[in-house]
Amino acid sequence: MEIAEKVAVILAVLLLLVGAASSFHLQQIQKENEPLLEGDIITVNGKDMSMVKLFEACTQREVETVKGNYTGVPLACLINESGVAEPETHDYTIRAADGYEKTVQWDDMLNGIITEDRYTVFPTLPRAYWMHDVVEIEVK
Amino acid sequence: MKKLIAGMIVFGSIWGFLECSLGDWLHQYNMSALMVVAAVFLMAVTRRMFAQPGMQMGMALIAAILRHFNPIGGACLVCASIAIVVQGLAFELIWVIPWHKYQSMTMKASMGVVSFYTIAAVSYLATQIFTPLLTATPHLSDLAGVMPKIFAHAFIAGLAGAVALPVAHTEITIHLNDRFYYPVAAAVTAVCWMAVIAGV
Repeated sequence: MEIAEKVAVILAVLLLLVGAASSFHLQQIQKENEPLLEGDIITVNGKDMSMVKLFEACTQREVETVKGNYTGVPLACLINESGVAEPETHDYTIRAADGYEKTVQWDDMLNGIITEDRYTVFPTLPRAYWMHDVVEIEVK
Repeated sequence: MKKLIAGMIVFGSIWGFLECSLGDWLHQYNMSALMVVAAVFLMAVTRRMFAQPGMQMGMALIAAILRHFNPIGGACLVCASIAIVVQGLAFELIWVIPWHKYQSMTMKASMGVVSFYTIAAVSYLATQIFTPLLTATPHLSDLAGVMPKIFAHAFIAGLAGAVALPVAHTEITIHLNDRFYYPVAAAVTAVCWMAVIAGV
């Protein structure tokens, strides 16, 4: 085997190891978040809140998107229910069960909704911001 | 040259059509890595057939434009188009490395892993950087949470690349008479564009 081939093999193995370790890490994060998903809990500003109660407290809204219509409660209502003071002055990091996260502003929270199956929909943002299995909203 | 441009347009259109149909479907099931595999495979096959550096970048630009015409996937137009262009660019850069002179299966399989993995990771990362820059407020801290997902996504593409690149480099020659080549290329291109614009 020539040197170039050896380098290619080593590089390939290293990349696959990083990928495998990342997949394992994601599985661990998912496992850690399973109790939140099963218990129908979402953590907002460090407070565990019941999804069922939030859906009772907030008025559901239908949003029209290019991917179709979605019904859920406004994300802004979740923030208000959690008791965040001056919500318009903060940024919000939305985190999914697999660790994927995106930070949005208050205007986006006003437009966005979370569906009963924990899918966040932002009609005014690209789909990179739409997340399945949301487990936490961190207030920054 | 005419043949090359026709090839670039037809394969770019096929790629764009696949992104709008198969890509959207795979995205729903969190299997976007397979779309990257299909795209890199298409680029590798066409590079072997036409042996023209730069052609795949052209294909990527056509696919990205076609993705932009997709009326169904509107919300993800920016990120998908960025990913396609970055995939074309990354492919061209990796194919500058003179690994092709080694014809062994070891080299093809290893470079399959390296190229498919790198292209998948870089294009995913680019969407995470450029989409917020173009459409919202970028937050660097978001990248830390996304990195494991990017590597896990690239892992699937890398594994598939170990098989896909040797297959793409298999010597299969299809001779198509010029009399048929251009009409077939035009017809396939037209079908792809009409299907995408119609939202199929």
